[in-house]
Amino acid sequence: MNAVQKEIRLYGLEQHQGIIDGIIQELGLEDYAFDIRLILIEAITNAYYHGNLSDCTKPIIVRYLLSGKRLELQVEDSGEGSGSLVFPEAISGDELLDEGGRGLYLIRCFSDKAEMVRNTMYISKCVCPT
Amino acid sequence: MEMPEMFSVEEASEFREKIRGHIEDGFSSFVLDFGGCAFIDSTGLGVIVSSYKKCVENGGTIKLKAMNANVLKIFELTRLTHVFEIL
Repeated sequence: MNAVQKEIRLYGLEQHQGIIDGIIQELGLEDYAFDIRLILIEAITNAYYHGNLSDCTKPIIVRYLLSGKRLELQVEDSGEGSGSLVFPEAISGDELLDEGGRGLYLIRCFSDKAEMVRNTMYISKCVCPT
Repeated sequence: MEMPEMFSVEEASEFREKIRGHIEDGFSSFVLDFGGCAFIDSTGLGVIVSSYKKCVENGGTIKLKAMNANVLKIFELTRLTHVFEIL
């Protein structure tokens, strides 16, 4: 039987930690809990602040699919889509003490592939379900 | 200061208020105890960095201790291990 992509809709940043814990548990990926939690928190935080402009009435849609050893995640915001979202490859010396700018870098560090297409972040990570 | 188990958006906001109060009370150096902290994200890092800058302005600093492997990895990846003294 083929794995089915599931979808959860959330608003604001009040329930997302519980939702992420539920996804990790449902997929049996407790061994990857830290990595997946970090990726999803960063992606959802980015969607809320930059896509939805901190508007709690706008939805954020999280889609997840575990197919064999590959975890596919999507986080869609309600914005128009940013044309030039860059996932940095490194933190430069000049940026060391910036307050922000580390979220997309960390997503890149903890995933195998991450890209933003219109208003949706697509993230792929290799995992071995326990 | 003891860091929370999950140091993410909401907890980072609470921490910001707490340390800001201590700085306004005249304290400028802190040791952040990560012994009970299992998770940190970029929002948590950002609050610690901005607090560190305020402390340095006031002649103090922030040191970190008792980080677990996952939390330490986040500081290493973001090169903040070059900024903070880790006890």
